[in-house]
Amino acid sequence: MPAADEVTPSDILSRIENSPHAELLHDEVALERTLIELMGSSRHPVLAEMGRELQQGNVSWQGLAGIPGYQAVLADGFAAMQRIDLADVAAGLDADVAVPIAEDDPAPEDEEPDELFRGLEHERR
Amino acid sequence: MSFSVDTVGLAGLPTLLDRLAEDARSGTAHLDGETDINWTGEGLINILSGGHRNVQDQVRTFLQTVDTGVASPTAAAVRASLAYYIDTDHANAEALDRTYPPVTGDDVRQGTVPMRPGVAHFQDTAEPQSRFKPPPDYNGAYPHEPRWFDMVSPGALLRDAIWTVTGAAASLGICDRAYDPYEVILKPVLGDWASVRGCADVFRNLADGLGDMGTNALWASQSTEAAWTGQASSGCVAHLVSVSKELSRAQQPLRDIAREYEGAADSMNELRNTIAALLNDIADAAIMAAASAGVAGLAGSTGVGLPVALIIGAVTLTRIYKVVNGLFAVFDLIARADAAQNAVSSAQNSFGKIDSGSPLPTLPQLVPPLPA
Repeated sequence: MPAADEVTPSDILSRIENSPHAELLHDEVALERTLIELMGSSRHPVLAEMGRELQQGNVSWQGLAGIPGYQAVLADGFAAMQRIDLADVAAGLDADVAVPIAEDDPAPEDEEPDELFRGLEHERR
Repeated sequence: MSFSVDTVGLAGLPTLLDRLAEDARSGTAHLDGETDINWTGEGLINILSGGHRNVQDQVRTFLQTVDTGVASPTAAAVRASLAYYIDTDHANAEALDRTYPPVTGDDVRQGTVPMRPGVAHFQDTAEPQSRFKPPPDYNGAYPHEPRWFDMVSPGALLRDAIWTVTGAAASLGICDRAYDPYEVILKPVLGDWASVRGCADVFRNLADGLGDMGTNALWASQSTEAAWTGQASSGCVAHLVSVSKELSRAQQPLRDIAREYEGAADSMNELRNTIAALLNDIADAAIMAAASAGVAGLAGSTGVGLPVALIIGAVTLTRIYKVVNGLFAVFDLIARADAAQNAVSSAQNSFGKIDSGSPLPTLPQLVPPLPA
């Protein structure tokens, strides 16, 4: 059970759900395309190359892991994943992407948007 | 019922019974030679090991009873009778015959159809041993390791990836702990399923062979009636018909258990294929999680087009969820397979259908009283 002020993964997803970027939570294809574009436009040369290779269909996601030159970048990503601070993420979302909801606005009807939230069933089980 | 005996003709009966005993020994050799299963490892296959030994023991006991409890002692008793008839005159033999309990043929033969096999009396109508062919090599169709073994085997990058992603998921409160796919996904589905599948063929072969032995025994009873009449003969014929019936009845439990073995092997193949599809999605999601976390980590210095927090939240976090959800879907499948293999194990222990049970029949081991 998280502390009252602790940010949970579902808090993060709820913030995105209530932002102009909610589509990313519902459209797997759009999300993948966005990630590939982000990689391709990176100024990190290896990451950018990985993005281009994916974009051109020369390699699959799993294929990336089999290419020695890409493995260090992925290892950095796995390491970065361990350092995710949900409070920082929440603060970043509040600052950069959140759409303020007026106090008299009705709550969004679709509070449980999609399959991603099903993962919450497994929290700390 | 008048007494008569054709000692030359009746001499074919013990020879036929010798062949029946030899057929049963051949069946035992087929069982012992072709139903070994390699139980090493920690897979779901091990659920079947105790039940498999039970099935082997019951079939072996049945076949040994056909050999040493039925065919061989009956052959010996008939040989003793033949020796008596050769050494005594007709009147004495007839007088002795009247002392044996008569058995009514119609009652004995109920449920059997008279045979017209087109072979001479006391010749075999079928060749049981021709049924006992080794099963084909099923290692191609039911490999020890699934085709996705390399994805999550020790040293595979994906194995480390799933371990790392679920570790991150655990620290974020998405799941309870880090999961090693080699331990929780691969190990349960490893195993000698090719031999399990092969056992199904062996049990069907044995069913076919026992059916052949049953028809040979039935023909033996009809042949006996042609060579030997009287009250002692009626007891011997009844015994042979009874043996024939029980040999025939033994076929169905063997076919039932064969179906269980084949179903178990097939369901493991289906499970492996389903896991393969899920594992592909899990693998893609794990790599995407790493790539997105990498993008986010570099975002400050490289100026990518979305806020870092959004990349982490919408991409990294959702990919972590996808990995965890995928893994738990696999766990559910494995739990269901575990239950299914336990059901097969129950069938093995009751030797046949789970609900009603269909044990192998009890052979009439008491050789009827015959002149000696």
